[in-house]
Amino acid sequence: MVTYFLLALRNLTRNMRRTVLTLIALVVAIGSLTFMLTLTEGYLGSMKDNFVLTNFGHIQINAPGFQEDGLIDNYMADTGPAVAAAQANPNVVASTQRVYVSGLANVATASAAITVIGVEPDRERAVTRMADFVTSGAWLEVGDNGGVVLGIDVAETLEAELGDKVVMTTQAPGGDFSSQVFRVRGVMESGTPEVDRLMAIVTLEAAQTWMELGEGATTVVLRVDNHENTDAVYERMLDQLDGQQFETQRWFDVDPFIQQFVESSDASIVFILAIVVVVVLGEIINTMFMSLYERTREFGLMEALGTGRRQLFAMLLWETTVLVSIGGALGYGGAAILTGIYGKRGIDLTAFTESLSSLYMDPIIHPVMDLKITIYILATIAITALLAGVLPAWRATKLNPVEAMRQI
Amino acid sequence: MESCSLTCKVGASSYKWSNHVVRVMNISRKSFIQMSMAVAMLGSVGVGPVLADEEADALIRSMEDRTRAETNTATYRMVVTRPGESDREVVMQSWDDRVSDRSFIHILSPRRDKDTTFLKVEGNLWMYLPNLERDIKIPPAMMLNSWMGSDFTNDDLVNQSSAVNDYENTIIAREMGADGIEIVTIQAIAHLDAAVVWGRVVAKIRMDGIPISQQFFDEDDVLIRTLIFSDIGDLGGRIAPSKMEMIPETEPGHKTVMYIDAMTFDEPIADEIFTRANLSRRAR
Amino acid sequence: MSGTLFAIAWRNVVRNKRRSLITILSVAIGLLALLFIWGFNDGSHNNMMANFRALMTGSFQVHQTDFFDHPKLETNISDQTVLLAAMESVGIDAWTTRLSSFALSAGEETSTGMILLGMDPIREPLVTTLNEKISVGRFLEPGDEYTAVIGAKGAAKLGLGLGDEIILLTQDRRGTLTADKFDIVGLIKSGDPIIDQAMVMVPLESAQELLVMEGRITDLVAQVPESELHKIAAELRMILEPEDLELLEWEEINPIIRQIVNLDNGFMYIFISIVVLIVISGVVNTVLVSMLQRTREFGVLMAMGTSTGAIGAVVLIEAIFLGLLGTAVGTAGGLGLVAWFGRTGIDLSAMMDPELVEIMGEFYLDTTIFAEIDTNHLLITVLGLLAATIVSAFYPALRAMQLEPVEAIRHI
Repeated sequence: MVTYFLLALRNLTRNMRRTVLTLIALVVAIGSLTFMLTLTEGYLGSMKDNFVLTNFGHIQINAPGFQEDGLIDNYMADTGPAVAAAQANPNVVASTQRVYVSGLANVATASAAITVIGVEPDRERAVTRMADFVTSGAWLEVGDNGGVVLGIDVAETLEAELGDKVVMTTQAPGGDFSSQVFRVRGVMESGTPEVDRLMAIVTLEAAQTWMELGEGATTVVLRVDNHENTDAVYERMLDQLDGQQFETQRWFDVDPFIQQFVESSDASIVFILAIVVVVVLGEIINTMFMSLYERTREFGLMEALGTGRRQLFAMLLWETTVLVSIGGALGYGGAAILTGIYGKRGIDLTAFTESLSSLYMDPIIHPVMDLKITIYILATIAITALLAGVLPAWRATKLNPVEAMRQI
Repeated sequence: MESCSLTCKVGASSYKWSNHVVRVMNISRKSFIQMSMAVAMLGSVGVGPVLADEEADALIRSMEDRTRAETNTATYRMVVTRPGESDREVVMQSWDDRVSDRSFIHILSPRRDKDTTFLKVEGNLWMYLPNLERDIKIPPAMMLNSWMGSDFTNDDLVNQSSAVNDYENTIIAREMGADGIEIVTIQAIAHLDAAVVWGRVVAKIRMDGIPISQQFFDEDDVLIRTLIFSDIGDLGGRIAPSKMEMIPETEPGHKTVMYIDAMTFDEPIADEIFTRANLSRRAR
Repeated sequence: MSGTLFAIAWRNVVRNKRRSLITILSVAIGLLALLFIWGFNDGSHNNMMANFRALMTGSFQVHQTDFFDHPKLETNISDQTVLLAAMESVGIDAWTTRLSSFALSAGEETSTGMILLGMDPIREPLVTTLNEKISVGRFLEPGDEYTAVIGAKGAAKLGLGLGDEIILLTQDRRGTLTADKFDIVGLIKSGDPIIDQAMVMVPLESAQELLVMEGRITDLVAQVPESELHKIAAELRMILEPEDLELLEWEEINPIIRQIVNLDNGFMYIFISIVVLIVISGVVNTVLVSMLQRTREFGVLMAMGTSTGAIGAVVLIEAIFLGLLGTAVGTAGGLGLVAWFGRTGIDLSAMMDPELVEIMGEFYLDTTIFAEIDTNHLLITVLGLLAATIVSAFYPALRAMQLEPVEAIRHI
């Protein structure tokens, strides 16, 4: 085995120029492929993060049926068990409560349909990024029960500026209309319509008082430490909470789009991988054939001296394998380094992505290395090596030693 | 609280209407549309602001007494003027029970809207259309700013806020009216935590409590609309204005005039008036 | 002189069939792969954009100015004479008019907000494919009064089905709340979530009556061939803008689709660069080898007086020939593949689970993609690869020029 390996090395170094050129092709191919995969992994991951952290959280707990109908009548009078269960779970990074109710916002000259969300200003920060979307003014302070943060489109429809008062009318459980006045503390812009066009954020306390919910809320939102743990946390919640009182849902139960987008992206990546392999194979096979013809005489000589066909085959196969492995490893390594560097900094694609934020895509992508990627690449290298090596190696064994030696 | 699938946002950006649509509006039990009622509360449009000044206070209260009662029934005629179109006239009858916060309106004309009825009871708003042969409940988000297409808003009509609580009033001017009765100008500044959209209201009231005019300013002190009272005469046994003209200052050519053709105060109103059954009964 | 160089170069190419073939294949395979991917890429993009336009939005729309940004019934087109005359003058036949507004749809127990569209039953099928997406029942027909076609999911949410009555509550042009009953004659399943869940289509005349908009419309929607869109739009804008009418092309109405396409194409260009690099290294390799193998030959030539420039030129020209041939083969093969899949189509549904098929529907993609390639994508790729081949030849050509005749001759 070692002999073949050393033999392969020597043969490869003997024709440095060709080896180097082929290596370049390999490094470029495998390297860029790997990097593309890490980029894709990065941006898909960030899509998930964006969706989950913009607004929804990983898991939500509501009163049964609330997710469907959104009626304030369907609120949880006692969220204690849910909150306790969430806090007890080691994978839950943070949790918070919310009150959702739909209503109308009025100013002197305009009105707008809104979704009022009562949040816990400090706890919300630990769960979602809503506070970070405030572009003018500020997020709510704990205890600021007269303040409201508006989605940017709502603010524009109302022509409301910081400090302006907005009278909001909703229907409390039981159906009574109720109006409250709030002052605009901030305006938020997330790039996603469900936030920007509809949201009016007030404090949880304000909403509870207004709707006469006491200590109740409509929703408990959980942030899990890792997307992978979402299912586990979900299962635990189902176990611990009474299904009659609490309905638990994961983010993709409610909106499966991103999950499916990610899965379909995975599928198309395999497609791309296949194509790149084909191209690379094309180049390598050609190169190997070139080498074959150059070394025809050498092979003929070897065979004449007693080298078996099988050994010749093995030798050539080893050469290709070593070549491809080195090239592949260098390519992978290079891409891994790039991933490391840009992983933190991120690559700014703002020029290309424009406003895809409504699809939860960030203009800045952070590549991420994953075990899955490593496996894909290793598989690709192995397949390439095998396919590229077999045909020329086989061809070599077909040579007639006598004729071969006559070649110049 | 349905989360709109991402791609519905792809489509949604084609439609600005989707503001309303993205938020699914579900209503419990029967689906009905509650509409802000209180034509009867039109009386409350004339409600003056709170008085920091005791005299101002007293004057406002006396105005309220004139125009409000525990119950009243009335016939109104509303004329809406819009540029480029002929005036539209709506005639309606209303029953208002202030004590129990219930009211009922029956539209009499024009023919298109004839026998449309509204009921506000227990904090819910119902509307009945004869061609529908059923009633619908109106949710807050459908309470778009104009009432029946006029220059009066739902806010005007629903808003139960008493002048005394929400504003701080001071007398800023006095002048002698043509008929020898003094006219007092009161400035009412909305309390910061009052659930009213206005910043300030400037009201002119006669010393005998009859309102003359009101000017509504937003918080940036821009004059948004003016309400003028006239045709002072006998109204159901009281002396009160029977014509109210609302002029939006920001929309040239727009105007709404409300005439009170008849009104009775404090006559008992049968309970069955304020029922959903009554919505369709009136239509027959 | 140059004629001879060409002849020599060509002869060299032909003489070494094996080497030439290998080089040509190097280029051809790369090009083929790229063209195939483009075919898939452009095919699915064009499919997506065409479906989007055909379903509902049209190639362009005309409204009263400001209607798109601030939709309200007051902003309507009351007199359509100028507009329709303009359509005729430009020769557009596939247009229809609509009335669009917002309504609360009520079923038995629940109600939900929907987009209300009054449509012309005769003209609408000339412009959009909505009438083909009916899953149950039928589309609107001339003579219909107060009928409705509603998205299947929306109907399900309201607990309504074919033949049921739906109540639409809305605000008429004057701001008065108004409502009426409509008979559901059809359910629609388009794949677009807004249409399927939040839209109700009624006859234009019924909508006009309900909303006090007799004789008025809010939108004109038209279809024209995509290649002529910009020209037609520019012409029309000149006529329409003075009349206070706005014309919006479909990309302005929904920019996201185009952005997705651009993003995808961006990735493609990166991809092309990678493939080009791979091909370059392959070509350099083979041309170099072929050159080195003829060291002795070059040595003799130089000894006989051929200038180094000429030697370099020969190598270069050879490479160019090989590049051209490779490009030709690759292009022919690539286009052939594209043409074949253009006719047959690539059926993806086999490898997808149903949820994914639904997602594709939401993105206006059919499950069978017909390959197509945009001309400029084709040109860029072919020329790019050709240029790459030529560039690869420079190094070997330079090396050839550096040969010392005496040493070269001695070379075996």
